[in-house]
Amino acid sequence: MGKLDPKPDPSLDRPSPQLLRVLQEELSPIEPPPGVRDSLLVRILKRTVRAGREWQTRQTRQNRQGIHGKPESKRPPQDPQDD
Amino acid sequence: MQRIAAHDQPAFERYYRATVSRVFGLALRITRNRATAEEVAEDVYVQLWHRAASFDASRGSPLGWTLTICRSRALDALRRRDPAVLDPDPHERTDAWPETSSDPQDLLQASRQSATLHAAMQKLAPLQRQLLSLAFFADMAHAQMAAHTGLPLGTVKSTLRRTLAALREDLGSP
Repeated sequence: MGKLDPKPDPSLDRPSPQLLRVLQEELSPIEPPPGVRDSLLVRILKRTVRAGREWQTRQTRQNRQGIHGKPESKRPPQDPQDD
Repeated sequence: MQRIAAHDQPAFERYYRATVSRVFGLALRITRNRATAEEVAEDVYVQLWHRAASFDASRGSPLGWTLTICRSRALDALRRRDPAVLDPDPHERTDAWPETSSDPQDLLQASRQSATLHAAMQKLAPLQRQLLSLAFFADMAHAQMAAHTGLPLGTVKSTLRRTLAALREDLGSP
């Protein structure tokens, strides 16, 4: 209050988004512990494949309907990550 | 990223294998806890799977986008897990950390030796690197840094300001 100094540029107070990107992209990688790399992927796929399988099923049905004019029954989509 | 957006599972797996050490490394450096870093990495890839269609190549690389999501998620996890972000000595929790790294949040040690960043970090004083680390790894504001380090607020502000100006010059980053 009452100071005559010019207000400093606030963009210099915090790392800019560009600098944050440089920092995060230039850090050295760290491998997950042995076994975690694969088990983590399995956990991710469990959460994504279900959604992907439903999407694929819809796509397949739509394609078959387009070709044959009617939906083809049964034949579940392949899911290599089922428990 | 387009193939992931189309839910191409093999493409997704390839991307995971190519990038997980970067994602896990960043998450681990921020959270300083392996289990939390795994949870963060898991969330990052699930989010990628669902949001890949919104990736905008004109705004950066897929890896850059992925790491931005990762940092945000890791900081969220850090705040959720440990409300005392101003941990007086976060490096005490060395059990959570690989033995190969003595200070996970020293940007000089953490940056790849071939990287431009590494050279820029070498020019900075330890205090400058420490404050930048607190801003990057813990998203601390000036007052939090002052409380964390015990330095006067004015010193924190001026030091960080000089640090950012130096990096702007060295890295050509706005």
